[in-house]
Amino acid sequence: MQLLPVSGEILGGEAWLGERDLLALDRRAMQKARGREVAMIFQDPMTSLNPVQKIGEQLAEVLSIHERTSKKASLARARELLEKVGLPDAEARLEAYPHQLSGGQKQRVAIAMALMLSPKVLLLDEPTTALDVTIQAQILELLRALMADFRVALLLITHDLGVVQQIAEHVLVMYAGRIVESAPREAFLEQPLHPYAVGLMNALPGRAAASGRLHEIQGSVPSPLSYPQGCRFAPRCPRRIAICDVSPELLEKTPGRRVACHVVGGGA
Amino acid sequence: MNALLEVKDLKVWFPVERGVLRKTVGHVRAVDGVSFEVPEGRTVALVGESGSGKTTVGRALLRLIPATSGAVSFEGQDLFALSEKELREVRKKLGMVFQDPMTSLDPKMRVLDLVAEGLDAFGLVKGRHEREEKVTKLLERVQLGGEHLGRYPHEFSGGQRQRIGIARALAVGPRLIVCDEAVSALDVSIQAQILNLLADLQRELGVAYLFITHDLSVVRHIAHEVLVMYLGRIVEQGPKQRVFERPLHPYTEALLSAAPDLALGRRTHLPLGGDAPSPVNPPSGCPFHPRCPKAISRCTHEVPLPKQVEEQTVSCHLV
Repeated sequence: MQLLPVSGEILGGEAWLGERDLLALDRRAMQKARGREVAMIFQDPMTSLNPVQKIGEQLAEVLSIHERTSKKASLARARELLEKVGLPDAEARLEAYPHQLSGGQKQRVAIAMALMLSPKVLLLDEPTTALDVTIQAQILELLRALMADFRVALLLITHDLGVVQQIAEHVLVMYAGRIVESAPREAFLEQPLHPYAVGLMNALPGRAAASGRLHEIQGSVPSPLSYPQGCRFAPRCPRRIAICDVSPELLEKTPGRRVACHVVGGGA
Repeated sequence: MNALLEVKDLKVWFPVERGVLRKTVGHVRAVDGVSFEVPEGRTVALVGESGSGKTTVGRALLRLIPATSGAVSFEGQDLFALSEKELREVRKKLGMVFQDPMTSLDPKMRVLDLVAEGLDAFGLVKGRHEREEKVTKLLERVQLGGEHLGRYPHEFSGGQRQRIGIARALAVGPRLIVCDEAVSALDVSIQAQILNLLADLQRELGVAYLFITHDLSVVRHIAHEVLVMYLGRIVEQGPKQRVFERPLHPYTEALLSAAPDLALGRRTHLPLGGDAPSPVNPPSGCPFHPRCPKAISRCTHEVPLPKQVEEQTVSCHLV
């Protein structure tokens, strides 16, 4: 999204969306791409909503600024989208302010706003983490429906394996700044391979041993200022061997499945 | 089993004030008639979504906020009838652990002083040497080394801070610890460490927990008894096994089916429509009826009374 603070610099890499490398775009081109190509949903919907502007105006503005659509047509589209995201009484809500809505309803509005320009990709950062479970279930249900309806791809960032189970098709596991495993959801949930992923899954309450104790991963996540040399999980890893001093690559283990680990990984 | 804590018909209403004269125009019925017990050495989980009043229950029974009516007895003493001085004595036996340890840890205090605060307040240690020794023991008990004594809260990770919070609560030898979302802010792997620690402490010291949380997988792991709150009332309560295997209240059922449970490979079905209504203006009859998939006309005007079904208690007309 090129939304990093000034202190954050992209040192390399590419992010291709169709024919274009998003990271190679200049400020202006990126501004145009945001919303139209990739749109973003945050954990707190108020990150993207203006507290002192009516919901209808905020949504319509997206179209009138990006597409120079007339105000009337923009508002009509806004209403249509509020209905699509299941906001009850959409017509009246156009005149409402964000604080008049509940957390789940605000997240629905944020989703409607992100969809105004029919982006190809929705980037969702912990979109249900701040919501109660019954509301979380509603939002996940909505996202599933929208994926089909708008033909939009989702890149969902979450710490919650339960959410992964409910909505993901493919899973990437990150640890200390690197992807350590990449796998289709079913295969991953059935049998994670990377020792960190295995530890994470076993630490879930409900997976306790017969003794009633939960499996722990020893230690804590290293600080980004002092990542360990070699495999960054090695200091906490129960399966560590000598070669783990060397950084493992993310290699294919079985078709569609890649793991960065000297012990269980693709190279092993 | 003896009840360590007994809560009877607890109500906490907050006035809603309007205008320059601050006239009371209504009440937020945050807690509206809640009764339960916590037996010695057991874990009772208080489950509910945001706005259900679960946190208010915890605070009111520790007298951190005033209750509107009701009674709370702890080891047979009526907490609401105690003077400030008498309450202080009882506080020794009542600990609290919060969601974000940073809210309870003064950033300018060293770990030594943080953990010793309770010891100092009650004059439980004499002299520097004994104080340090006691704190070191407490830190070891929560699996932090004595070398941390001189460090400040910001130098610790979230999990370590929660250990400090637990050491603080343990310092004065409590019989009951109220844990308010104590593991909710932690990563899964760290959460497992803290849950194991709490279980160990219960086994070794016989301390009871009132575990306030929205996370059902944690409840399933740690609780003996479960209380389900909705809009200021307990709608269902019973032994964990029973409640999870055979939820009787439609809200409990919805909550369980909405919560993804990887261990069981269960997927969401029947997501509940709508939002929880406001406690300022709760619905008539059963507070859950506007969202209840099974509601009948009786539910709209008649408040259901608690019914005993084997070991469970449930407030629903359909049961």
